[in-house]
Amino acid sequence: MSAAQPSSQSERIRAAIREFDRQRRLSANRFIVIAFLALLGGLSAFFTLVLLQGALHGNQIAAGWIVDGVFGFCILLYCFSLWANWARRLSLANIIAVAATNLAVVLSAILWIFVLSPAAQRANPVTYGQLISLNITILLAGALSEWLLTILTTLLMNALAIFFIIAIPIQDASHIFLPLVLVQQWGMAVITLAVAALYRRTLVELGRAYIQAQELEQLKDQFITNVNHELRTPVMTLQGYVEYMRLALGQMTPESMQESLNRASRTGYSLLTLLNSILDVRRIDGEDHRITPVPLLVYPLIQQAIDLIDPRDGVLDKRELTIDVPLGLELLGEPIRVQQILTNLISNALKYSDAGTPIQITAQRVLAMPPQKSSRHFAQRPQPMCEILVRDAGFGIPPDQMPLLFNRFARLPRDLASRVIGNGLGLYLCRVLSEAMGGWIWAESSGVPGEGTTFHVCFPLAERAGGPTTSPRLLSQAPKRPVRI
Amino acid sequence: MTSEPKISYPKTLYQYTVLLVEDNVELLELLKISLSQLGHFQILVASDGVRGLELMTMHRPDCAVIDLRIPGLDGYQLIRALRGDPNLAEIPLIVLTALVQEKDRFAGLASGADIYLTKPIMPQDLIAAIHRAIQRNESDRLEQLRRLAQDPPGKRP
Repeated sequence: MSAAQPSSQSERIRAAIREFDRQRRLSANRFIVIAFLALLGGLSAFFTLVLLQGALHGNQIAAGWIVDGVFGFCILLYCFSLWANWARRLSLANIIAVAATNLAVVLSAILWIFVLSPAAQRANPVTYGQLISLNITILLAGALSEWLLTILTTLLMNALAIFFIIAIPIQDASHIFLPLVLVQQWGMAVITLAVAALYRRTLVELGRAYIQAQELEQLKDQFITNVNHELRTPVMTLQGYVEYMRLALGQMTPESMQESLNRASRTGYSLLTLLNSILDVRRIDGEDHRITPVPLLVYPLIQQAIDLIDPRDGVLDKRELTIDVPLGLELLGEPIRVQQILTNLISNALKYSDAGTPIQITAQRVLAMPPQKSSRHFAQRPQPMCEILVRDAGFGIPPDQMPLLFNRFARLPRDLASRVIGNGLGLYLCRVLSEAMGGWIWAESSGVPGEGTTFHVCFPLAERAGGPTTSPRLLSQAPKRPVRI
Repeated sequence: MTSEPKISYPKTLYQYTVLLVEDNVELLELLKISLSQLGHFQILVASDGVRGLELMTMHRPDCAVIDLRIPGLDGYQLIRALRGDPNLAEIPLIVLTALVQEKDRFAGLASGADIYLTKPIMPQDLIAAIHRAIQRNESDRLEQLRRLAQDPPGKRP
């Protein structure tokens, strides 16, 4: 029984998206952290060289070791971030990586100002340095796709920019750069967020496709398991009768022999029916259904469908059967397939209701809206359709089990625990066949036993040029043929 | 004209009673006739779990063959109910089911079945399994009685 709960669908999509996001962040994080490690190593070596050169000229030897110490701390932080990444603690890895980057940026800015020669200040390198490092930092935060982190980093960088450019009096030129830096920073943040949002949407679609593929795979597995299970009982029965007759030959009376043969033959027949249904399902699932629809009169179709009902599913003799079809109503479809659908619906009505309860079959011309999920109907506007209703006064279908009804091998828990025979393929076939003919099917039930179920199946209407007028109002007034059997 | 069936268990003085719980009518009929004709069991049949439990308490058969997917009480519930009843707990239970997966087999045995058989199975194999289950059960019971006779509980310190 298909256990696909509709409510868990969105949860599963969300879970798949989380997984995708996680994988992406894992790889992005690792890449960025390693790149920064290399960059920082290079910077550290560069500054050490510069400072050592300064030391040779007799000043600021201690600063070199402090700088190296702080850079070393940054490198340690990156290593820690790598470890967190490896340990799949993504948020921790992100926060540490961003903190380390910020520290490195601040440090390099301070270095530019205090350690290097005043000649460098003339070109206002703080701002240039900041421009580059800010870009990298915000890109880092964005690539890690932490929304909060992106905004926090931007705020921090703004504060730092204001601090360095305003609080430290260097040159007038810096004031020209301030608005530029701010605009650029916030621009980066906005772009990052937009990219993340776009990416998110792609991710949602990807997640949906992934779930669908997974579900198909699951359905296939389940199909095979179910087929295996459904076939075993009839095979055992058939084989058992043959074996029994082989072993007990000579002891059996002709009557019991006859009885056993009859039973074996009945089992063989039901095995064949099951196999045919399975083949139908496989055929429909596997190929593009090329159905050539022809105009069909509805009333004879219903009559033929009733004739085809298997007597073991129930007999109409003691039932009050009402058929209400407007004269001349025609639908477009393939005769055998339409009959199959109708036979199935009517025998279901017989099977799932108490003996003696009435059954109503109604056909009418309607303007109906195609269901949302159906991919075959792109135009979401009402279309003139021929609707056939099969109503019984049987056990009903609990509303929560309604979504499962038209799935393969879907049987209600109640029916599994009852004597009604079914293989759970009938309504699935009805749905697929009606959709292949450009129609759709749905059921309506309050779930209260005795109030019954109404199955609606819609087929395209055959509009015949020069035929009887087909306005809905006129048709509903046309003489009807109530038939009582 | 009457030739002996090729596989047949000798009729014993005491005829064992076997309860069949199975919802497929055709299969139930087959099991009924083949077990009574070939295995010389006295057969009780039930097509749902509740009826099965009822017959178990009423007749206390020597063995029960139970399908897992049955209406009313399902097979697992029925087995647990039987194992929980002190009067019925010792009756050997055979599961006969179309559920062939490893997890189903585990669940069946874990719920308390003695033997787990999967469909399809030949009638004579089923008969052999029933005999084995009954005999094992009886030898267990005799062993228990013997021990009790040697060392009655009252004598223990």
